[in-house]
Amino acid sequence: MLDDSRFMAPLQLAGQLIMENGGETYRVEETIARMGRALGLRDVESFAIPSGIFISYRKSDGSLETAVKRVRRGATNLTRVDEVNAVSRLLENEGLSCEEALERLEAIAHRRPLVSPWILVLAVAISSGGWAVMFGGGKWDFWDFACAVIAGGLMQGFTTMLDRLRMKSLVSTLAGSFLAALVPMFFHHFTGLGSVEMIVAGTLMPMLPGVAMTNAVQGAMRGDMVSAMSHAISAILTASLIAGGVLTASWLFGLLTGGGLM
Amino acid sequence: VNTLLQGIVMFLSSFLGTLGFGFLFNIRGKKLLLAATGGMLSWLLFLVLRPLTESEVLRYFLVSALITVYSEVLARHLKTPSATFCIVSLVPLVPGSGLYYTMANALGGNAEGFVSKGLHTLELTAALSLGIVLVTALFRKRSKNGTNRIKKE
Repeated sequence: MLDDSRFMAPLQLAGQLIMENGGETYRVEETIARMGRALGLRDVESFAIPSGIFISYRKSDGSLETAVKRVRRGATNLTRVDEVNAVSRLLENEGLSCEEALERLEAIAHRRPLVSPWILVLAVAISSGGWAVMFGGGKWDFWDFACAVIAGGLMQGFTTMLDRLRMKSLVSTLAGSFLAALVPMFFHHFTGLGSVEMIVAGTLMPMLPGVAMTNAVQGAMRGDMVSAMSHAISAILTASLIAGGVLTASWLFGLLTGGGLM
Repeated sequence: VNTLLQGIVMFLSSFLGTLGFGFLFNIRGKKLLLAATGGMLSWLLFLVLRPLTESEVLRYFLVSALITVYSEVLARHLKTPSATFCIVSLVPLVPGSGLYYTMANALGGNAEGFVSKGLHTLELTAALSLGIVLVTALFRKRSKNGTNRIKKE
């Protein structure tokens, strides 16, 4: 059965993949419009917000085909966004058919992540170490680096474990930032090495909602108010949770050692 | 010599920091290295432009505009969305820690610190985003003209 409804599946899947892997809403809308045009559809309209996508186009019998897709954002995976982008370009320039496009998109959706979460722990650990040294103004302090690496690794490892247990990201953010602050404090307390503030700032860096915040303001500047609001609220919530975790850690530290730090 | 050494350590550390970030965002291979180089560049530019203006906000704007140009050029070259480079390369500047200090002040009951930190963070974010949006818009306009011309011929 070759009716015009079949064009919806690739449009939906492409939009869903871009959104779920951290692409911006305007990119979702743009990709759907491009793909629709490449498939020869008329009146392609799409409306994307961070939690869902609405698509409609006109079929050859003149009626409208419309679909709604609920989307849940996961971890950012820019390689997937890139791959979806490549499929849309193939559709536009190389005359890929609707079925071939859908097949490729499904392959992207079902591909397993390239690395295990434990390698990500290593990446976050090294990243934290780098930031700690950078915040220290480039004065090479081995202990700053080492402690941030350990704290960052513990933070990401613990967060990954909680995610595996299907905890809400709310819990893992709070617990991760708690650890990220507590480890350097005790390290400094017992060894007298490293500067706590630089290490905590560096360790928290991979967790901070900087990207969400920039996306929010960018969205507002593009006139995309709904996604701007939702990014802004998620950024403020994450930052508050991190602040809560750190304050709890410093309160506990003060309680245990008889002298607060932060 | 000491400042030179300090500089090298700083750039290496910002490179490492962005590298881990890019890995976390699932960028791989050549693109990952280019994105991390962008991260190092953005921190370098931020420091190098210091004699030009003391204003952090202005420097944020300049650096983000320049880095977005870098990302757009690479994106065209490698046929990939420019966000791949842009998001990661600007990470050293993104004031995530500013927002954190803002909320820490709020939770600690320090209203004055909350307002001043919050405003500063907002200014920096606005400058950063303005740089990105402006340059992206310029590039987009140019490439649209380009495709139109091809179609007319």
